[in-house]
Amino acid sequence: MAQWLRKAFPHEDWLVILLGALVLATCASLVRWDSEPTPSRNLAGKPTPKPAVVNYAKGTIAKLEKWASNPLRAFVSGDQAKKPYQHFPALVLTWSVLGILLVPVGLWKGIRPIEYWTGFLVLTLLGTLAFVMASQEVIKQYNYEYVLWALLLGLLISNTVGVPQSIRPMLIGDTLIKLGLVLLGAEVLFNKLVALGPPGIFTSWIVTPVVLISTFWFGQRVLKMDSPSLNMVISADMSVCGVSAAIATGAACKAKREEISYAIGISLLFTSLMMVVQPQFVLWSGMDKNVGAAWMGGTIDSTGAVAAAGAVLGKDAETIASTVKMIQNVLIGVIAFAVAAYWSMAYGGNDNAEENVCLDPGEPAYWTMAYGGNDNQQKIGLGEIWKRFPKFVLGFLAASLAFSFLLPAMGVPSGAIETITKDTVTPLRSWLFCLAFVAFGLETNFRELGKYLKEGKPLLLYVLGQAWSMILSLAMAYWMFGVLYADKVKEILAK
Amino acid sequence: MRWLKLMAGCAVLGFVWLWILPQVAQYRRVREHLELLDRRNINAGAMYYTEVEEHR
Repeated sequence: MAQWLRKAFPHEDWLVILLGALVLATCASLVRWDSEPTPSRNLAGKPTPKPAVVNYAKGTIAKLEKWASNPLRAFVSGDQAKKPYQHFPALVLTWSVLGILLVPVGLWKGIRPIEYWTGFLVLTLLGTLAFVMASQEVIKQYNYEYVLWALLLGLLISNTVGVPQSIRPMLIGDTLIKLGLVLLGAEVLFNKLVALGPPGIFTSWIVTPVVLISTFWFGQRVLKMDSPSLNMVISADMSVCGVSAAIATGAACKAKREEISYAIGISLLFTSLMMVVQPQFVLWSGMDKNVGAAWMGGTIDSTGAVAAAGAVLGKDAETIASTVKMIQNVLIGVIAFAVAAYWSMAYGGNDNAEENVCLDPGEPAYWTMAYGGNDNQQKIGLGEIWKRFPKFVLGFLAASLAFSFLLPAMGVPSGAIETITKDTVTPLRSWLFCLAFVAFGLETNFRELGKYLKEGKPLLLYVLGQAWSMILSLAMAYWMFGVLYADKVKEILAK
Repeated sequence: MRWLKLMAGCAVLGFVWLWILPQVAQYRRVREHLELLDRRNINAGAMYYTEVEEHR
């Protein structure tokens, strides 16, 4: 089965897109509406014809209640007439849906059933606890979202007792985030994407290459780094999108495996700090949230961390941050291509060639994608760009197109589309993000990351490059989302 | 030692969520504010995020 899945889906992202499509199709098929309009009245008292919509899946994905001093109240509806702990069945159903939904991912990754279900149970228990923590009334009042507590719980375990080997294969945070982002596509209607496109492109496509080139130049000329490939990998993972950019450019410039691991380590360390600190800075400084979100989308390394940081600022901010990040992600292939071309001209394509081996297959698809199996011969062409393109972005776009145009064209009323996204897709996506952040926390060990702080020049390069990136991104985000497109973005998001 | 650290971490979280936060919620001004939100059925998120609907 696992072999068949790997053959059918050579890249994990295709499987993620299929699962996302299945979820969206199932959610949509559980909604019914009357073709005869049922009259209702708007605020002005005027009758407005509105089709009656029934969502049979409403309430099946657990959303916890606010509580004051007894956390068990999180599982009790505010409506006292109803049975206590009524959210438990929904909770069990949610866990079951997620558990079954992720089985193909487990098979694709070759996770053994015992490891899959043990790991899944740990993730869901910690995820549920994170939701309970976020539902405390004072916490809820200040909107400290579940992602923070999911990360905190994961970090607490990984940095004290550590994570047992039997659970490690299920730490599939990146996959969960990709699936969540495909579902997010259904919530972000295409007109919003189009509106966010030009300022997003300016924010990420202009700043990113400038930061990449200037940081690489700085590393070579000012810091005089010994290894140009380490310089390039750090510059790319800091300016583009963390792990996948480090791997893709690492392959392009034939970096040593320890150089890629090192760059990824620094990136993880700073990403885990930035995704907590940056949204708090935006809130503290009183910065416009749209500008702050675009800024975070352009500077925080990984897509998942950007989504989490954006979620702290609200739904619109999450949309903007994720969109800017995904626009930036598209650059991975182009940048890897450009680096490969530059390397073969500048270094004759021989730098570290003998060291170019596959790394640990924690993300098998990435390694295969980046290194093309064990082929050390660098190939440059359109096929290479396509190979390195983050394909889940296509799932996000397809979901957005389907919910913006296809469903309305098929006669699905706006009320039905609203209940599909609001009552089923959004809660399910929140659970996926929550589990992803538990996994990210469990994967982050400060002791291991701490060793990167002891190194000199590469760390300095990352810090200075990131500071430079933050300054340029903030300026561009302010200009685009705060000045040039400010009104247009607000107007579209308000619709 | 590692387990001790974990237990200490859990104890801190438990203390904050089960004692400190409920105490904070009992402060007159905080209580009044929370009750006002409840009475008017106002979504707390709307105070911080303009896109959140004001009423639940």
